[in-house]
Amino acid sequence: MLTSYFPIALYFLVAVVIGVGVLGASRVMGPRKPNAAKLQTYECGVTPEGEVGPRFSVKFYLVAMLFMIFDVEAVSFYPWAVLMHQLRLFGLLEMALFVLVLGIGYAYVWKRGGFQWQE
Amino acid sequence: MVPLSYYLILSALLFSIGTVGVLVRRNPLQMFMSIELMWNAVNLSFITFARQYTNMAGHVFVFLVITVAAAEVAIGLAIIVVVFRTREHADVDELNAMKG
Amino acid sequence: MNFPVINPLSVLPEIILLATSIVALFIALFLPDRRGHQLNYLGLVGVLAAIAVLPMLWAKVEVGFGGAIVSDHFALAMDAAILVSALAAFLLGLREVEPGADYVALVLWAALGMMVLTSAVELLSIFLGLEVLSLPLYVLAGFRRDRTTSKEAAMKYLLMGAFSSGIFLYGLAFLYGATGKVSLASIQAAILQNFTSHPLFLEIGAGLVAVGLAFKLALVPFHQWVPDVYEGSPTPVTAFMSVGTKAAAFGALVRILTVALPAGIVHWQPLIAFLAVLTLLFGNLAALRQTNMKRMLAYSGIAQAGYLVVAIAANSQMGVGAGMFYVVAYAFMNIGAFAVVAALSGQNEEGAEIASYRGLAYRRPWLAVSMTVFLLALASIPPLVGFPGKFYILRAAVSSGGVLLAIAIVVGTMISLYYYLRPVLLMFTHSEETESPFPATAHWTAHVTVGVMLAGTLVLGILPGLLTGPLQNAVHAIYGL
Repeated sequence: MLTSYFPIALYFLVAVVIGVGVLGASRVMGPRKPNAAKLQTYECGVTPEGEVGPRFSVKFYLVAMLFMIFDVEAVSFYPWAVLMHQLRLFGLLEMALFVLVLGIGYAYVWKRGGFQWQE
Repeated sequence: MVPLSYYLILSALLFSIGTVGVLVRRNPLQMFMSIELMWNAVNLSFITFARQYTNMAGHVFVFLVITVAAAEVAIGLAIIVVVFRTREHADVDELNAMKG
Repeated sequence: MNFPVINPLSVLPEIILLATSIVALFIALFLPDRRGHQLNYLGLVGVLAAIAVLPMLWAKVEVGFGGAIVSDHFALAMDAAILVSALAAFLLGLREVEPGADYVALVLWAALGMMVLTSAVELLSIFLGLEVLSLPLYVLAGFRRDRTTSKEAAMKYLLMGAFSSGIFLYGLAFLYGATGKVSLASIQAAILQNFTSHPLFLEIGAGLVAVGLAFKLALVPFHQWVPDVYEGSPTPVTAFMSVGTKAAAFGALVRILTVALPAGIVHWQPLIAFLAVLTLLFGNLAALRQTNMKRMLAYSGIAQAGYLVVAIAANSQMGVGAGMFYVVAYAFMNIGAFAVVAALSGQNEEGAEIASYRGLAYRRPWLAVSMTVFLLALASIPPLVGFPGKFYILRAAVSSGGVLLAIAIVVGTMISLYYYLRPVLLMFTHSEETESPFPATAHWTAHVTVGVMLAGTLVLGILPGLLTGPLQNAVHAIYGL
């Protein structure tokens, strides 16, 4: 059974050997003459400005936070989805209430500009 | 089958690592990650006990903890961003406007 | 398939708070920002409505959510203290924090969580209550984003709060692991019938739960976050959380430790007694050297939590009753003191130094006299409400053999006299400065708060019997008598 995977394993082995081999050979044999211009950060040929590690806009954090909340709250749907048929109207109403509360939160974030990318 | 006690020991180890992390680390994000580790170690305990007693309460608990942890992380990130927006480094030892 | 019975009556006050917060957020969608502070009145109405339904619910015990929530006399009495502190958050918040829908909703949710915590009788609902109370408070602590101290307070509160929640949660996991049950009643039954998997699990669980709540109650040595958070948070929020959180955490400790985990089998008593003594001595000593009024009140709050925990360590019905009385007493005198601080200080908390209270009695006699009453009450001088409160706790401690605890209370009280009386003397000392260090006059709601708290402090101090009767019912309720 497992022997049928042998060619694939061989293929991976060859791929790794070639990859490491080529990179290693160039490192060992290639000439290296570093100078200030070469070590500079490449910014489309223009003289770079500022730090190398850029600071991400706070917007990214905001979006990440909002995404996480709404993403994980979806977990609450899971038990209901599994038992939807047994729970019938009761479960549906409970879920509607849950979505309503979540929806008002969503509307509030929207109104306060939580989804606005530009200032 | 792996004995259930192994899971409890693993959970205790993870919880300890998290606790030590909170006490040793000084970067709020790292402290916060350690706290998350503690919470998830507890989740593992809950699942193990639920398995031992074969009842669902532990599973329900884990669901709840996951959702609460998400809310906690969102609030935590918000506060950390607000505090360190104006600062160069994130280090809780620098938060010393109040003393006494 | 049978559904758990929800029984909305069991959470009627909570539903009112939640509905108010949702309405506030909804209105905020259509309200221009500059009128946002008017929503504060909506919050006020919501809290008053919740207070109004408490007496109606008093008649009957309501069980809801398949037995996860019980609205008994104990829960209702604690709810009253919590709602009064929420009321103060709105009354004082009108000018202090430039409140909008977010402030209103956050305070309501925190109060909601506190109320769930006091009526929760299942591990799940206990955890949920604790988190619903904690998360809004983290944000509220940092509500003044323009102030560095406020932001720092939020950060410290968040890290310590989440850390302690983790410890508390692990404790709950062990209680579940020891018995396989989540409801406190069946955990107690399992312990009494010796149906536990491992006795050590119970001990660990009780210890972790106690430590987790000790963080929330600000017991020494888990108190380091308190002074910074109390000083940095906006004053209305400080008043609210110092009282509300203590009431809620006290409720949870009583339900979990004294009721569900019989002290004869699970040995949590020495730990709690140790924490109580440590808190009483350290809290009072540290308060001595404070120069900032809010910070002094923070350390005094730590010490006051020590008195509360003595009531739990006594592990008797008398102790629980005394603790409940003290929660109510603490609500009146502590919120009163913070209300005066809020009424005196401006938007940027200038004039929070104790030194600036010099000669206050000649400039603002009404506030100075009120502050004097609140400080004397905190120092438990008769005939103010702090005196019967501390007396009941002392009696409970002695009658259950805790002589060391009683001595700690007496020593702590003696130390506390110094730092409570010092501002009083300062206020009645003539100062040469004609310039008042305090900004313009306070909002009328601050005066209302001071007046209400003053009335409570005086009336319950002279007639403590008004409260002890209903509280006796409450004690019976949780012991299932």
